This record gives sequence, C-alpha cells and structure tokens, in this order.
Amino acid sequence: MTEPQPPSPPPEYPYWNRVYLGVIIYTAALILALWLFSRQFA
Amino acid sequence: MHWLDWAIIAAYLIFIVYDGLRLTKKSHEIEGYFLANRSLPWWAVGLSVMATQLSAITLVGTTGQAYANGMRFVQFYFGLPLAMVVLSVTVVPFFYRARVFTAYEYLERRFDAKTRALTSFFFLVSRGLACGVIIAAPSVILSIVLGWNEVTTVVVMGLTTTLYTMFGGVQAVTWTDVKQMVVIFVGLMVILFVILGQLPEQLSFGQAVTLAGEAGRMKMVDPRFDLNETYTLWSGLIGGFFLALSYFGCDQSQVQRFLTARSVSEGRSSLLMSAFVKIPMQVLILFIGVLVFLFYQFVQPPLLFKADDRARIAGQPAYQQLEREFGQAFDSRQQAALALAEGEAGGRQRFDEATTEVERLRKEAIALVQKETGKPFNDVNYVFPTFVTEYAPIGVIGLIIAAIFAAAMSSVSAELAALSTATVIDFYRRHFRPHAPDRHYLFVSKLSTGAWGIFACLVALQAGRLGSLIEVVNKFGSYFYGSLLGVFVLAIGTRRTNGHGAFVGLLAGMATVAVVANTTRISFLWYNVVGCLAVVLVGIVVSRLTGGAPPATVAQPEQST
Repeated sequence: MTEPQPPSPPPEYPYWNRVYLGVIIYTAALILALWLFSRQFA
Repeated sequence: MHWLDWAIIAAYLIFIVYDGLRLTKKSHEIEGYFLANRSLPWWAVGLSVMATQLSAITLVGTTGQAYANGMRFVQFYFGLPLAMVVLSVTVVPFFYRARVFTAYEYLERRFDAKTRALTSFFFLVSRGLACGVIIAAPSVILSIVLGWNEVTTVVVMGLTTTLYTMFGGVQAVTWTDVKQMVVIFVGLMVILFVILGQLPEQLSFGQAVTLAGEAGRMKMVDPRFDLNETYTLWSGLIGGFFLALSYFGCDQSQVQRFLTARSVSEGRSSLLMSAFVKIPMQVLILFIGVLVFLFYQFVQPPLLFKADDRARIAGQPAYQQLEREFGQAFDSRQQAALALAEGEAGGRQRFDEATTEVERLRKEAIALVQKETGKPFNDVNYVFPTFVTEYAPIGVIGLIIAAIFAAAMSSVSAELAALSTATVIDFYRRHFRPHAPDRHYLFVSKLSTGAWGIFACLVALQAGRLGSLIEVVNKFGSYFYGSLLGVFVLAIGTRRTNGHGAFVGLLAGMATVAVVANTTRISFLWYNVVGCLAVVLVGIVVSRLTGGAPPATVAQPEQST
C-alpha cells in the first residue's frame, strides 16, 4: 500500500506576482538603458 | 502618385472592409456584438489595445515631434507599464467578474444610477467629438500633402470604418485591429530602412546617431523635476502613470478591449503586452523622426512644411528673399553637419551657428504666415508625410498611407463600438427599454454605431471651421480623465464612500483641473494627478457628510486567478 502523498506546497510566489515583478524590473532596466544611451550621444 | 501606391491603398481598404464584414455572422446577440462572447485570445486583444491607442495623429505627429524636438516625448510612456500592472491587479478582475458591458455599469452597482449616468454622459460627449477629431486630423494632413479632397478622405476613412464596425461589432473591431497593427509595423520597418538607405554614403550609422545627439535629438531621459516642463522622467512616471490608469482602466474604448478576452488571465496578458511593447515601439517611431531630421541635414527641406500656408505667402518678396537666404544657410549647415559627423575641429561651433541661422529664417517665415493668416502656425505634423511623398520609393508611399489609414481606422472603430455600447447599455436599456428582447438591442446597437459614425464624420468635416471647439474638446478630455479615475479609485479602493460623494467629487475634480489649467503653467500630464486627488478628497468628505455607504452596496473584490 502506498502512503498518501502530502499536498504539494504552494509556489513561493504566485505566477502573476512574478510577472508583475518582471514588468517593473523590465521597465526600470529599459529606462536606465535609454538614459545611458542618451548620455552616450547627447 | 503611382498606380501601384493607389493599388496598395485600395487593396488595404477592400481587405479591411471585407475582413470586418465577414465577422457579422459571429454577432447574433448583444453579448457577441459588444463583447465577442468573451472569447478572444490575449494576443489579439493586446494588439487591439495598442491599435486603439495608436491613432494616425500619434504616428504622424510623433515623428514630427522627434524631428523638431528630439526623442524626449518617449518619457510620456514611462508610467504606462506600472499602470498596466495596477490595472491587472485591480480593474481587470473587478470588471470581468462583474460581467458588465461598460465600466460605468459597475459604478451603478457600487454607487448609484446618477453616478453611472454622469460618467457615461461625459464619456459620450468627450469621445464622440474626439472621434471626429481622430478622423479629421489625418484627413486634413493628407489633403494638404497629397492634394486629396478633404471630404473624400473623411468619407473613405470614416464611413468604411463605420460600415464594418456597425455590422461586425467588436469582433470586427478586434480582428481588423490585428491586421491594421501588422500594416503599421510593416510600414514602420520599411520606412526605417528606406531612410537609412537615403542617408549620405560617407556617413556611418554611428556618425549619424552622434550627429543627431549633437543636435539635441537623442535626449530621451530628463531627470529634472519641473512641473512646468511637459516631458521629464517624473512627469512621465507619475503623470503618465495616472493618465494611463485613467485611459486604459476607465475609458470604455479600452475597457471594452479586455472585457472581450477569454478569461481574467487573458485580459491581464492583453494589457501587459502594452507594458512590454509600448515604450520600444515609441522609441522606434521617434527614431524614424530623428532619421528624417538627419536626412534633411543633407537634402534641403522646404522652408515651411505646410504647403497650403507656404503657397499663400510664396508670392511675397519678403518670403522669396527668405527662400534665397535659406538655400545658402542650408548649404552652410550641410557642410558643418558633415564636418561635425567626421569629428573635424570646430565642427560643433560651425554646426551650431548654421543651425541658428536656419532656425532664424524659419521663424521669420512662420511670422509671415501668421501675419497673413492671423492664426498660430505649426507644421510639425507635416514633416513625415512630406518626406514620404517626396522621397519614399514607389510602393512604400502607398504602404505608409495605408499605415496612416490603419492607425486612424483602428482607433475610430474602437471608439465607435465603445460609444454605441455606452449609449445602448447605460442609457437605452437602462432608462428607456429595460426588458426588450436581445434581438431588439442588437438592432438598436447597430443603428447606434452607424449614427455615431455619421456624427463623427460630420464633426470631422466641420473640424476646419471648429478650431476653437476642438481645443475645447481636447481640454474637456484632459479635465475629465483624471477625475474619472478618481471616481473609480473611490469605487474600488474605498469602502465607505457613496454615490453622492462620487457624483459631487467628479464635478469638483473637473472644476479643480479647469482652475489649475487656466491659472497655472503646470504641464497637462499633471492634470490627471490633480483631478484624481481632488475627486478622492471631495468624494470622501461628501460621503462622510451624507452618511457613508450602506453596507449592502460595498463591493467586495473576488479572489483573482
């Protein structure tokens, strides 16, 4: 007889929170890149 | 224009109308007509969201702005991704699970009928007139640049869009938006390579960008905090954030887009597509404008880009003298630009002096036009179409004009669908015929879409004679958006506010923005912040004075998936 499996723990961060965090990091990186690009050529 | 360009434009128009009309069979009932039975995939909705926002005047005006002032306009969009995150967390699950047709329908559930009617009425007034402006602006430009008849351009653009939106409903709007975004992207990429190919051979790409930077056209981030400066990092991040919240979360033309998605998750994904794509796409559009600027450093541009006003003063000796001086000044600037790009000593100083002289001559020519017409003059919107019609190869001209048509039509179709939805759902069904059969509402909805389309065309045809009215419409829109956001903040973010608070708060918010706009020099991007805060403050105070919200009307957010 097999032991009943314990329920798998919920993911540390729900999927959408990771997506939202990704958007924020992406936007910050994009603005930084545009700023550095501007400085390079201004 | 060459027959091939005409053929491309005709093929685009015929295909879009056919594509929209063939979706008529999927709109048998009102939920199918207005919400596509909530069945559309995220990527189609996401492209439709972007197509709705990108109007023809954005496409043409943004490139012109980059030509005149550089790429700083991109900061306008810096708050957009964060706004999309906030909307995905709040508004998308609220509206989607409330099973509403319009954003304003939700306000009646949360507050009362008068708040819903007032917000929906303001939406109809501001967007109904704005829809006419969306058609009028590219029609005027194309009629001046290409010599087309303005009435014909308005009719072709306005009535074809009305035709497929009227019969195909939101399905037609979304799926034609997808194709129109493809036309716009292809057009942008093609024109990018066309301009790159027309820059002088001795100028490398790096030298070209350096020259644009030396001319102040590559500045994309301005970290100064100045309330009077329109495009800064902070006005974009904060003001742009509030503007994007209001536009994408409270304007029915955008709310209707994500309500057609298959699920809450797909609705969120459709908004987040803009969060990832919008800024790079604006950088691309602005960079095309910078390339046009570089092109005109080596090929003499017209002294004034607006051909009709130029023709008015062409016979004046003073203007003819300016034209002669402009030719000499251009030659000097061209030599200075090459010297600067190649890093010659003193190149920068020569270029600055030559540019100052060119700008002085342009200012004198503008003064002549203003004296002749008695009106302010701005030819920024004519730069890109002038370049395309004079220097783009055969076929590309047709493609770019089709892209301008696509940008206008995709915005107009979404506006018409939203105007019809608000008219039928918020007024006709709510106040006049609450219990009619679905077939009746579908019939009235189609009539309503057609009527709004004809109204928009009539406004567009009168636009030339309604100069000050258009300004009023634009101002009204800027007074309205932040205040509308404030009402939704009260609805979703507070528990003890009531309909009286929201109603009075909306009026107080618009009045506050009107005062700020007319008594200060604060940039318009901050109006949304001011309006939203005023509504929330007044709304809370009035709600407290009028007894707060009865517990039964307090909306509870549902668990999101």
